[in-house]
Amino acid sequence: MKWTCSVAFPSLLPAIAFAAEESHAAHGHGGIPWATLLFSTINTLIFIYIIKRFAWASIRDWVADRRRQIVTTLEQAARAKRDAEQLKAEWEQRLANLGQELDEMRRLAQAETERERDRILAAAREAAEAIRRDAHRAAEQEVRTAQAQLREEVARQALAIASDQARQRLTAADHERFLTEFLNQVRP
Amino acid sequence: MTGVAARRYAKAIFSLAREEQALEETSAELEQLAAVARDPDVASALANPLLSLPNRKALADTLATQFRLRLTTRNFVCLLADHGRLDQLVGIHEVYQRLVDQTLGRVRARFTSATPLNSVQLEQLVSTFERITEKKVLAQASVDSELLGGVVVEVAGKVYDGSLRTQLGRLAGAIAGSRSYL
Repeated sequence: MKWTCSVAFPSLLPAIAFAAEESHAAHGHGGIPWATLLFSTINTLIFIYIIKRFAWASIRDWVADRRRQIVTTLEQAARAKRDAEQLKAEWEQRLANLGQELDEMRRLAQAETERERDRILAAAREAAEAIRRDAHRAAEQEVRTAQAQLREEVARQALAIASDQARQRLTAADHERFLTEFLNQVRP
Repeated sequence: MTGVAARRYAKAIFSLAREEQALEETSAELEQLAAVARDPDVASALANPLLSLPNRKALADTLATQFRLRLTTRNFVCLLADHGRLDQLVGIHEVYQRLVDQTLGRVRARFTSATPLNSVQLEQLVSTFERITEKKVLAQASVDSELLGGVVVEVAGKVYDGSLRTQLGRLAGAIAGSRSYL
């Protein structure tokens, strides 16, 4: 009813104004045109009834739908805003931790570099030691070979000298002694 | 190193000779034939596969006549000629000699010395190795001045080395750090 009044009153205002102007023109003075006013009022009431009877539900549904859409949109906007803020916070956190991660990566890279350096140094030391051992072994072998050659040469010369001496100095008695010694050795 | 064929023929002639109780005579005849066969020219001719059968028989007949071989030995040489085995004469003689020595209980010994051995020394060696081998020793003496002194005895597949050369070689080997310098 309140709604009807609030709608009807503004609608009546032009009719009242028109009726007043028309009555003033007809009578030539300021009396109220009640008939016109009544007619306009009835028209307005019929208009209002028709609107309420046939269009009010649609208008009301449209307004409700529109309201829900707006609410939903606002909620989505709020959710998007929250997500954006959360994402922003995460990225800010990551940015804040980026320095630390970089430091960690740098530390790991340095440690790996040091391990690789140590490994290379150890391999180099081992190779150097192997080379030194081989060289030492080769030198020792050379010395042994030289010693063997020297001993062999001494033996060869000693044998040659002893053979010459034997040919020159052995007597029949010596040969007899050799034979006697041989017989003593093999005799059962 | 004697071959299978030489051993087979040697056993055959040994059996015949033993039946005839002519081991020593046959041994002497085979020794003569082997001495001829050791000659390099004769050896190459005997080993020549192109030597025809008549020529081989003629050669065997010549050898038999030349050395006045007994009938058994003559037939044996002709058999070798027929079979193309005249080149096996040296090996046959060696095997035959071993078979005879085994049968008669004797062994051959080679005594090599730096200076010639006198009869007393040779007798001492023979008697000593007869006691070692417990067999009669047939001595074959030779001289090799390279031995310097002492004697080397080869008997029954063993070598008894009492030479001064070997002793000096061992001494040189000890100096050189090896087992023997020779």
